Amino acid sequence: MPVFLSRRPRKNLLDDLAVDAPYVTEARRLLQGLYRQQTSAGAETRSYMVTSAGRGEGKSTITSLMAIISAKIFHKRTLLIDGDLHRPTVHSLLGVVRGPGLFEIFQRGAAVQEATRLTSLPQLCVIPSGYAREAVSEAYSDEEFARLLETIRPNYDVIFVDAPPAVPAIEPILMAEHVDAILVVAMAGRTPLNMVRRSMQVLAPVKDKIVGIVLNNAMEGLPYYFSYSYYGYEEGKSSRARHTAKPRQPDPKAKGRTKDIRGGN
Amino acid sequence: MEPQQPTIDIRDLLWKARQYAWVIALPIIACLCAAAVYYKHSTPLYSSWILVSVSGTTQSSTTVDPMVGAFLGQASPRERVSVVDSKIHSRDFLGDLAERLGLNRSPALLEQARLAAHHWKGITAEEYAMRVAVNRLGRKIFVSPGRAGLIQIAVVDTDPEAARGLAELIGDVLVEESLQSTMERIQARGKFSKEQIAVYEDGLQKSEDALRVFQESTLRRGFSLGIITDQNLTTARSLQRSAEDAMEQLRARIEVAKNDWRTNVGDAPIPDLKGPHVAEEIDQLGELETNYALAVLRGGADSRTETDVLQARIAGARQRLFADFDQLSQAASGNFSMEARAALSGIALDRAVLRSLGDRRDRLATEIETYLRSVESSPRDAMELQRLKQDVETKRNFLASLRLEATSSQISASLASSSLGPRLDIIEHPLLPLNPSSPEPRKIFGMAVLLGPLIAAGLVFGGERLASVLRTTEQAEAEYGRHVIGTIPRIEGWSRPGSYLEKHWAALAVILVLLVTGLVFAFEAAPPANQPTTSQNLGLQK
Repeated sequence: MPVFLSRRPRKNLLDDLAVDAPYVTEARRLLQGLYRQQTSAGAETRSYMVTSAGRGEGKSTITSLMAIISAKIFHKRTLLIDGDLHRPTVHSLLGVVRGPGLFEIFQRGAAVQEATRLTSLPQLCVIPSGYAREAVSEAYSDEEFARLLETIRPNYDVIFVDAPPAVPAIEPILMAEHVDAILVVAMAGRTPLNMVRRSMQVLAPVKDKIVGIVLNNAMEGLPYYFSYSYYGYEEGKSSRARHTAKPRQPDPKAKGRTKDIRGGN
Repeated sequence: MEPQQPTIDIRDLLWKARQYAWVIALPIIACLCAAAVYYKHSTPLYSSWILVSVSGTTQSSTTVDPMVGAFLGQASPRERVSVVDSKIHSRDFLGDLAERLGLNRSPALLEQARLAAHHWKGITAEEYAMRVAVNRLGRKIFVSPGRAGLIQIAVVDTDPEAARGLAELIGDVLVEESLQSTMERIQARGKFSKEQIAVYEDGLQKSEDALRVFQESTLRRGFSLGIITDQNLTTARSLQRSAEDAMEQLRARIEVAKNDWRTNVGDAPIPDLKGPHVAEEIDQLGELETNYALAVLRGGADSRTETDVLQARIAGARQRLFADFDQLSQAASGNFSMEARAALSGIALDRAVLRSLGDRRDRLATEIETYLRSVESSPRDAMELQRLKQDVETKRNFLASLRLEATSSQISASLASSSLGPRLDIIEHPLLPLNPSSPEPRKIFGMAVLLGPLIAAGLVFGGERLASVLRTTEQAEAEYGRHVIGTIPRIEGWSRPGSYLEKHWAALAVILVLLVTGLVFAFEAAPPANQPTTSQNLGLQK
């Protein structure tokens, strides 16, 4: 297959994270808003489900990013669950082994501890999707998911669930019953309007749980003043800052996991 | 609160242009490449042209000029170009050119025509060849307005010598045919004028005869009735009344005399007194009375003398009649007394005078009646006279115009044949073109430079406006009914979403266009060495 047609391996979000990068700033702002909302309401919103209208709109990336920032910057005990059994990507974004994970919990009754992965960030844990070898749409178990959340909730300050897209999959509307809040991701310049409308029809039963919209890839569809280069931020500068200010800490576990990822994928 | 006017933000436009940089570059580069390929591979065409003048102005004197007339002198430049273009692109003209050049006898064309003629019944190979040759020639010739009101006839060909030769030939044929058609038109005009002159001469003759007859009849009527006018009409009526009064008195006196006769003679009839000269004298008296009245009506000093004379003659005539009647009454047979005889002669005299006065009265009545009738009919006569005069005048003028036209046509013919008054003249003869007139690099690349950005703008505008996707936070909030709580930009260094082709199609297309253009230039085929040129086909010598 020609190079330009092949899917390149995804980059590791933990490795590439630059604290002063615009996307991190925006994600921090987003989380800050969410936590402030949580505090002011006096509610114990701990679990967030992130979904979108269709696939490829960046919800896994944003969910992973929020989880990383929550753990790294807000120092919260954070768990990220890869609920997208159809197209799991969280494990590669965070550099963890794919299985055993959620699929194994659902189908084989695997222990939560067995499915939970530690990352290079001590505050961040991940339950990846696992290796779904059967019909994925039949693999999801609503009871198991509810039980899982109940089990793990006391151990974490915040739980992020990366759900499949709302329109083509049934899981989001089922998972939504058990989470505290829902975030909907849309990609500027890419998400079709009819898909947006359809997703809102699908999510209508749980619309009260939707706390807001996250607009991804904002520079593509927004005016120039959304560009960080307009404010003097440049990519090269960010890259230099990343490599000089935050040298990557060697972590034998992470190395092993990375090896596993490459091998497993 | 006033509604906000939509504004154009230049920086936003530049931002969009940066986003769509490759999409904008693609049509611009594609248009420029297409222009370059077209310019490189299109056959160079050479244009040779002649400048002709078309006008009716002649070199003759100002006196003769109006008689010669202008052929196209009053036509606008556009109309002149149209006339010349129609003439040049007419089938006859192009057929003549093809015949002279022998294009329709080209072996290759005849072979092609023979094959094609099989599919068209009723058309011979020669006819087909002629049609093809005419069609080809017509596409090479262009007529357009030249400088200073002149007409430019350009011939475009791949061979410069062929273009020049064809332009030269067109000029020659055009002048030749123009002169011939001018002569034919002039001759036709002269012939028409002569025929019309004959017709109008006959008509004028008839009108003049009618006018003369009418005038004669009018004059004749004037002579016959001319005694009474507006001035003496009252006198005439007065004379008529005095004659009637006198006649009334005479009738009364005759009645008295008749009573005397009856008193003396009784119921015996009154004898009629007839003598040898009496009747003649009575007629003479009547004539004198009439002449007296006419003399009075004529008036003037001579007339007064005449009336006096006539009165004396009337008196003399009455005296003679009285003497005659007296003799005749004395000589009348019968036993009549002297008083009866005197009454008899008196009655005869009064009757004679009564008759003469009656003549005068009748003549005056006739004259008055004639005068009144003429007064009534004079406007009608005047109108008829005017009409006849106008008819004659019109026909005389038209005849004069026709004679002028006949003279003009003769002069025009002599002018045309002596080349003194040409209708079409070649001002500039064709030159051998040194550089091709087509393709024009400025035109081609200018169009590419204009067209490329236009298409690019259309693509960007279409992509922005027609794609039904989520773009702005406001749109997202409106569609979802929830607030946008975060806008996450693209992660630097990470690829944009979508497949490689989806993301880089424009750049790949630009590379492909450049590659194809490069290949086209690299593998440019050399022209065949032994390909015959058009000038060789036309039989023209360089």
